[in-house]
Amino acid sequence: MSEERDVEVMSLGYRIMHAVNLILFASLMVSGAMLYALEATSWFAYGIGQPLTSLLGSNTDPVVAGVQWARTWHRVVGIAWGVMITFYAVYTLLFSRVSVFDGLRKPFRQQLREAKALMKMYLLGEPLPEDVKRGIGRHNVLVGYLFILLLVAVVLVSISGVLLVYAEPLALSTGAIRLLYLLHDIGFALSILFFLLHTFAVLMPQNRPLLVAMFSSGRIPVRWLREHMPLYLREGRHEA
Amino acid sequence: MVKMTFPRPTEGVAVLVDLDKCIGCRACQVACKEWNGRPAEETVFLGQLTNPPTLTANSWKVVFFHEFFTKYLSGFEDPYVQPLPYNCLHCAEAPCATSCPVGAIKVTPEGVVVIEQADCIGCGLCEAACPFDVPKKGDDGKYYKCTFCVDRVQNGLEPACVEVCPTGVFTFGSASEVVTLARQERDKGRVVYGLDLDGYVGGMTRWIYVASKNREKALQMHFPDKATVSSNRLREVLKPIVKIGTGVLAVALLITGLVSWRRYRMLSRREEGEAE
Repeated sequence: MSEERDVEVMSLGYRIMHAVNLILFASLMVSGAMLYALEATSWFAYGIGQPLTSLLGSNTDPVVAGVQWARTWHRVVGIAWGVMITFYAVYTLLFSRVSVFDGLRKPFRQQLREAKALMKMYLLGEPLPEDVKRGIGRHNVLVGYLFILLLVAVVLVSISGVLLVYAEPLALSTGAIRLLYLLHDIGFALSILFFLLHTFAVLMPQNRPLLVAMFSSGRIPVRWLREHMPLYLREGRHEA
Repeated sequence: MVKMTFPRPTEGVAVLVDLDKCIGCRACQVACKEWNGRPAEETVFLGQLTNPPTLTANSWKVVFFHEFFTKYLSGFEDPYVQPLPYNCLHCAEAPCATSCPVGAIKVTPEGVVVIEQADCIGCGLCEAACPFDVPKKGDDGKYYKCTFCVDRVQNGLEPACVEVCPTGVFTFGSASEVVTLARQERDKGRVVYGLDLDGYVGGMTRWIYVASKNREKALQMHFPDKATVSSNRLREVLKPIVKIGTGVLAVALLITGLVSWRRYRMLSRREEGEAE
């Protein structure tokens, strides 16, 4: 295979799904942050609330109007995103398209060694040892761990979020609602952690081809793959 | 959770509620409705005297009737119904006010905790934060509760419920006087609820209850042992960690990323040079 060629690593459906996820997840995080810490986000609430109150001729405080908008948006988008990811999860499971955990199929000791080497690369700038590099496929071990973090966060925020929205019709007790708020907060905190770590990893210059591919053609040069995902290239699971 | 500055517990106003004097006439319940213009609610038969059975968005003060057996010195046990006039206790450091995401719950210099209706978004976090089950959602989606008749208090009047009580159950005054009075009653051997509470509510409430020993059961039946909501307390602990942690982690990752990328490029070039 010519080193100059590129291959499709991310399908169109995968990229569309990622883009939609990114937009909805980010909008949920921003609207959630407005409800969670208004003392830090009131400027944003004002930015939304001011034109809204002017447009509607309402006397409501612009910041309060902005937060009320965020609350409504958070609920609508949350439910829409929940429905979407549920369908996507069912589809990926039914058609065995889940590859994000491939790195976790390795023996635990090997996983730890790979994770340690990757951490050293990301945090200390040390290139990967050759034997570790050879064993890296489409998704490395850290991606698998990060996805587990995301999964826990999404499960916590989505289940608690849906129950909080329907707390009245479900006649949930005050005690249950209090617990749901706590779980929603923990899920939100884990979501932020995921967001920061994921953004850190994809913005590392050595991963640039991945970032470009995700938001363009989905194709990555073979030369880069040979360097960063040699196992994936050897397995030949990509589409030429 | 909004950062707030509360008046000190001994500043502002407070009320001492003497349960021994309460005859359960509900004059306070009616006066509250009348002064605050709250509509009447259709009563239902629940097999108990308390009606409505809880505080509601339209009933900010409800007289609860607690039934229990009281033991006399002779050893004779008698069934007893103790009325307990109940409304928002106006905590010294109201958790409802700090939990409100838009700061719609204000605390006046008198220590009165009031929901600013225009700002309430109806999220229910105040209800979840309250250890005394006070704020209630109205038909308009907003939350309501006792205002301590702030409009009267700020104009030198007593709250409406205090004024109408025919037996003088309520002693309204400055917080320092009321706290002193409550301590004196406790020293006399009476039971007090509202002093020395959990730090979650600022250690005390501005409505302090006092009862003689044989009526203690009513206080035990009505109020929680610990004036705290553990899950909300955890949320309060988590919030600064999330807020500060996010900023610190973002900056740390940015610096680490830049430094490690520079080193990675240097080491990679050196390796390439050695290979050539």
